[in-house]
Amino acid sequence: MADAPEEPETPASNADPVTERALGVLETEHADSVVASEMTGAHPWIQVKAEGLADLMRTLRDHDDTQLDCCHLITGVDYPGKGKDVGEIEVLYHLCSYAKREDAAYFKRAEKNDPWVAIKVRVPRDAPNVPTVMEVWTGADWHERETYDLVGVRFTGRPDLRRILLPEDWPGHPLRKDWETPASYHGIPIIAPEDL
Amino acid sequence: MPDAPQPGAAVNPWDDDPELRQNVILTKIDWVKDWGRRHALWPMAFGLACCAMEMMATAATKYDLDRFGAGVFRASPRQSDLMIVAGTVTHKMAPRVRRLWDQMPDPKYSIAMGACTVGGGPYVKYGYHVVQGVDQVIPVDIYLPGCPPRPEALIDAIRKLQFRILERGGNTLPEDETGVGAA
Repeated sequence: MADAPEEPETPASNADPVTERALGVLETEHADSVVASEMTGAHPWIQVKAEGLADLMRTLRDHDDTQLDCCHLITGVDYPGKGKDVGEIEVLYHLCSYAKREDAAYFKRAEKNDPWVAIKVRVPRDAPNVPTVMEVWTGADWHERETYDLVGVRFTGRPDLRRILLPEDWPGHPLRKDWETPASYHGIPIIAPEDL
Repeated sequence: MPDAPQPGAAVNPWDDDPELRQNVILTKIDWVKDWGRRHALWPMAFGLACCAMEMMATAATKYDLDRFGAGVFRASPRQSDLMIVAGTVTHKMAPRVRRLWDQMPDPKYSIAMGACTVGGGPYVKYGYHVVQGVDQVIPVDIYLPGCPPRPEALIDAIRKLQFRILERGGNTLPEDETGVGAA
């Protein structure tokens, strides 16, 4: 069988079917919320509005086409602005589906160790308020606390938003781009990165 | 029979009593105390990060820290006299390390195990959360670099600490133990 002709590779579009399916659901159910999206590249994403985020996420969780029942991780990214622009903070949700783990498209992504659908929210840097998704996935609790701890995103409508990793009296949120190393913390001197 | 003492020489009262000679040892009390401390170091069971894995391996059968009298890991600082700071010390952990150190009875010794405790290690520049060396928090006797140090290196550090305990008491090393790292 060595001479068997190789199957011609279908010149499929680079668009990611999993994210495309999620985008289809959102455009039907929450057409006003979708801001932008990118379906190609190594990490496809969908950007949505912060308002009504929990409802949107619940749709993604419960809709038969997506069934994104697992909030894999939540991260925050700081994009400081220049001049008068205050900049933005991006909150990134990686969702995956246990219910659809046998689904061919998901399975293909999972084989690449990348089975997640990325949903982005961007909020202004001086008022980084994002609605909580704790009521959709309870496991989002600690992720949100971590994002608050390190990037300073205020998740609204949830209880007990406090630091999870750093000490309670830690100054500021260290993954903000403008965070500066304190000269000392509780009497322990810290040499700043630029002095090392 | 011993020779007759020379006139004017000090007479050892034991010389005529072989039995007394076999049953009494004359030494300095400080030397005995140091000897005891040296060969019965009780480390605290206390690991902060990956270095603790190497510390556990050192204590386990293959490397067998008990050979050097330092294998009795105690679960309480009040029973320990050696703190092996094995792993990254964060600013959140630093007060706890200090408190554990203060709870240990004197005399006590410490080994800074691994690059993180020696000087911050890979986190020294951009790790906002890591203390840049555990010597900012507690006094350190032996610095042991490595990421993480292998069990042989930890054994070497403990041997060096044992020699240092002896030297600190104003004693010179026995000739068969002067080689650093000699088992």
